[in-house]
Amino acid sequence: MEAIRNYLDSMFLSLPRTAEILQMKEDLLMNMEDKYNELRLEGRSENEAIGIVIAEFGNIEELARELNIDLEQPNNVPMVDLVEAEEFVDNKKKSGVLVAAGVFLCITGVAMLLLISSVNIFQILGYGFSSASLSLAGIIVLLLFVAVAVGLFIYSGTLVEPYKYLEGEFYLNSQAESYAKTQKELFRNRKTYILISSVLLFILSPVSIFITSMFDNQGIQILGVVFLLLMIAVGVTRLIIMGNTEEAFNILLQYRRTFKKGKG
Amino acid sequence: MISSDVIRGYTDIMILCLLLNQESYGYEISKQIKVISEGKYELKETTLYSAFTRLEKSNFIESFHGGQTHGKRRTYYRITWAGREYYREKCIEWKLTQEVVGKFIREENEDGGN
Repeated sequence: MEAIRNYLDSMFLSLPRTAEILQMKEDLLMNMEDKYNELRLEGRSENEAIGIVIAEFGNIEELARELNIDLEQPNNVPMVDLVEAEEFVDNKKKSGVLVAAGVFLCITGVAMLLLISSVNIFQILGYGFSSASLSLAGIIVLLLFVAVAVGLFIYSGTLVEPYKYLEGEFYLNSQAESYAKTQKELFRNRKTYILISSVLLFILSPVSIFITSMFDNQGIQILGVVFLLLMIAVGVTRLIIMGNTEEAFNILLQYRRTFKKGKG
Repeated sequence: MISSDVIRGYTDIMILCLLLNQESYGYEISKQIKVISEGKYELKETTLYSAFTRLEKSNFIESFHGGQTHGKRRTYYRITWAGREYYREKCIEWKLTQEVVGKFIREENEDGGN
């Protein structure tokens, strides 16, 4: 029976996975199994029965023609193997790290702006700067950070660009599928840990403001805000990296969804 | 066994004929065709489902989900009014074809005169 299913799977490999076609495949499988069971009852051997069922299947091109599917078109549905799946997950993770770094830079840029414009309060460099020039310096540093962040965002995009086709229809071979499944499973505990620790970080971040507000010192209060921003930045960064890794497995595993229309 | 190329054009008639009195599903139809033709014609699965697809697109038959067997839902087919009309036309066409082609069918020994 497994042989019949495998045969049918291989026959339908070149057809798109629309609901219509999957239903047809299901019907064909039931017919073939009925036929197989009847042949067995007639006393045929297992191999004989499978042979007859397969011989009477016919020609998948005949069906494709009726469904207006051109099988001649260079295989319209890409097949993802283990190597490709690993590469994709790897690149998706890297891209996540880069995006996270970019976001980290944006948030710390704001912290820098805050610190620089309050240089006078900290009395580190003396009182020689007008508040206008300090604001300007702060903004320039912020813009520099943001510029680097934008560069990182763009670069992270190019890392996953070659895998854009995974948004459409594709097949995952069984090795790649079990890889994605086990990796996702392994990632689950880590995901929970990251989620909880990040949320804790967000909840606790205002504490730094409460504590520093108890001091009657503007400098310490500003440091409190900077610390809050840093905690948020760390939390957000971790969530982004986690989200990208998780998404990589999900994208790979969603290949079984069906599509409304033939070619994407 | 009949060459499937010749008879393929008539699988539509066979399927519609079997659906005239009752709705049915893939395997039942192909089994009935085998029995009625006394084993002289056996539809391939893909031929049968090409015909279903074609007939359904032309609204000659419609499909629906039957009850569950072993937890799976079978697709059943029933004939539509347009399908009955089409069946009648195809029958007339077949009779004409048979009549015309029949005039050119001779047994070898009859042919001797020319």
